[in-house]
Amino acid sequence: MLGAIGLLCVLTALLGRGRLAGPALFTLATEYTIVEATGHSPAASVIAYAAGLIVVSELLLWSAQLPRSAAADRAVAAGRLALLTAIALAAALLALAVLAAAGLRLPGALAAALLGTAAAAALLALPWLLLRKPGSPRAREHPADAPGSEPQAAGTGGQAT
Amino acid sequence: MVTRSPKLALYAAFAGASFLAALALGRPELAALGAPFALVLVVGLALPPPPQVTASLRPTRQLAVEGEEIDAELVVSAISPAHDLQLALLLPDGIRALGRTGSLLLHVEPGRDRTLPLRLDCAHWGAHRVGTLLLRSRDLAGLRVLDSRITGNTVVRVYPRPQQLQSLVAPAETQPFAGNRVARTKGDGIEFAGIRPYLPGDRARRINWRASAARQTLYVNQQHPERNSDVIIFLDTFAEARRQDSSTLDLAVRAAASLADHYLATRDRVGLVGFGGVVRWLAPSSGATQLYRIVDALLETEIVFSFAWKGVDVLPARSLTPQALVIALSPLLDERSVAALLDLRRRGFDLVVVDISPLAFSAQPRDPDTLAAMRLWQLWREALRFGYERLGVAVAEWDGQRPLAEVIEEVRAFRRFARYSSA
Repeated sequence: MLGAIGLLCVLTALLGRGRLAGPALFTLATEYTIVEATGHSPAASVIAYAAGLIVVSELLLWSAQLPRSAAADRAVAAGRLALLTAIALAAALLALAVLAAAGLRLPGALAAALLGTAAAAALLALPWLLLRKPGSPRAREHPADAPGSEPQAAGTGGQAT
Repeated sequence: MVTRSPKLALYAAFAGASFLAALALGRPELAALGAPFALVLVVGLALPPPPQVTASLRPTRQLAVEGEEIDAELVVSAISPAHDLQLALLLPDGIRALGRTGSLLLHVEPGRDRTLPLRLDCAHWGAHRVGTLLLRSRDLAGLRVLDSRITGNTVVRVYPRPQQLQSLVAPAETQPFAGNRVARTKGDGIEFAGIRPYLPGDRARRINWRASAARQTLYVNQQHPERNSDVIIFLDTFAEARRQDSSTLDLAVRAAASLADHYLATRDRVGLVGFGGVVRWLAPSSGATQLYRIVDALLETEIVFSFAWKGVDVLPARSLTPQALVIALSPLLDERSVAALLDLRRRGFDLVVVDISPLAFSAQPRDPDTLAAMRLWQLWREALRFGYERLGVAVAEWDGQRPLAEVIEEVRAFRRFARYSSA
């Protein structure tokens, strides 16, 4: 049922230019969580689902960004296709790595503590990266990024009255 | 300014939710689901920010006549690779881009200008500022967005297309300068005016031998000299009636440009008076330069709302030369312009009023009250026109549907038979 709703959301997001991309993503993930909570899926399905989910969300968000009557360059389309392939592959590999890491049997408590600390540090670094002012070092290098430095229109000139 | 895209918040929320769910339920598979989203965030934010992009629209020429098409180039450059540059061209109402109607999605290499050919349709007269662009560049992962607006500073002047006129309203008086009009006075010229008795100093070649033989004394021929006239185009800019992209001022400007073109072609001197919230004038002069001056002034004509009462006294004397033909182009909507025109006639100016009818721009009445109000308004306008005609002023209504030449013929017909009352 949730899967059907998720697919409906995906369809609506595609037609409505990505407006329901967030709900679609969360509904599909919730559906998978319920499946995981009630049973156990094989590793291959987890990897495929992780890669598929991020590909769907990328496509939905791109469809939202694309203006209705935009004329796109072939280079842009090719670049996006390459990026999408890279993301799908990276997602599959990462999901595989996460599953492999979950199956690790560590020899001692110290190793487990170190790995846990590293994982916690990585998780804490993520919000720091997100909350950092985007592009601030570059903005200082290029003052054109700063507000108010856009090119101004030339004066229209006076008129005889 | 670089801003975060909605994608960043969505991915962060999803990754966080999946990690929390994995911890709460003790299912690492859920963490595997959210990990790719976290990876996109980490890698995307580590990549360079959106590139700074510059763009400009360069029309091949900046002068055109209404309806013409001009070529232009859209030049885009970036200091770092712009993988996904979104560009929208904001054109003024009178200019349309042919072919490319929406926005563009471009890939721009750093240091290499990207040139896109464009064709612009100059649909409506005016001084149009072109080249305003909206640019949106993103980083490679689409997590950060840089929006910028480039304000265009190139002005494309689109001149109104002149209408064909078979004839013009002949001014009642001429000026002392040489031209193409036959003056009422007698002097050296081509047109035969009459004969008179010979006076000492008359040239022998002017003797009319046939008349001299009949009268047994010498008679000489007299001619009308060829002179030019002054024509003042009086543009009422106090008020206008507008519907969608057309207005009475629009019609008046087209008529003014056509009249100026034709009068200057017949070697008359033409001046312009824009009478409204802002009073503008051009002293009468002749030649092609004057035509460009007039048309340039017309392009900048606009309705400026004002409560100040203005009469013709505010106009400098050189803008209304004596014995000039004044052609007023007015919708006769504002009391001040109506009074100013009456004042001009009472001051002895040879006046013609082209009534740019606002009726064509008013909505069709649907209920009886509106219909009655509309009829009253029409009657009031007819009474106003009759008032002008009583003063010997030719008034012709123009709604823009029929050719201007017809209106000119109406004026000529009225002036042929009009009897001027003492002004």
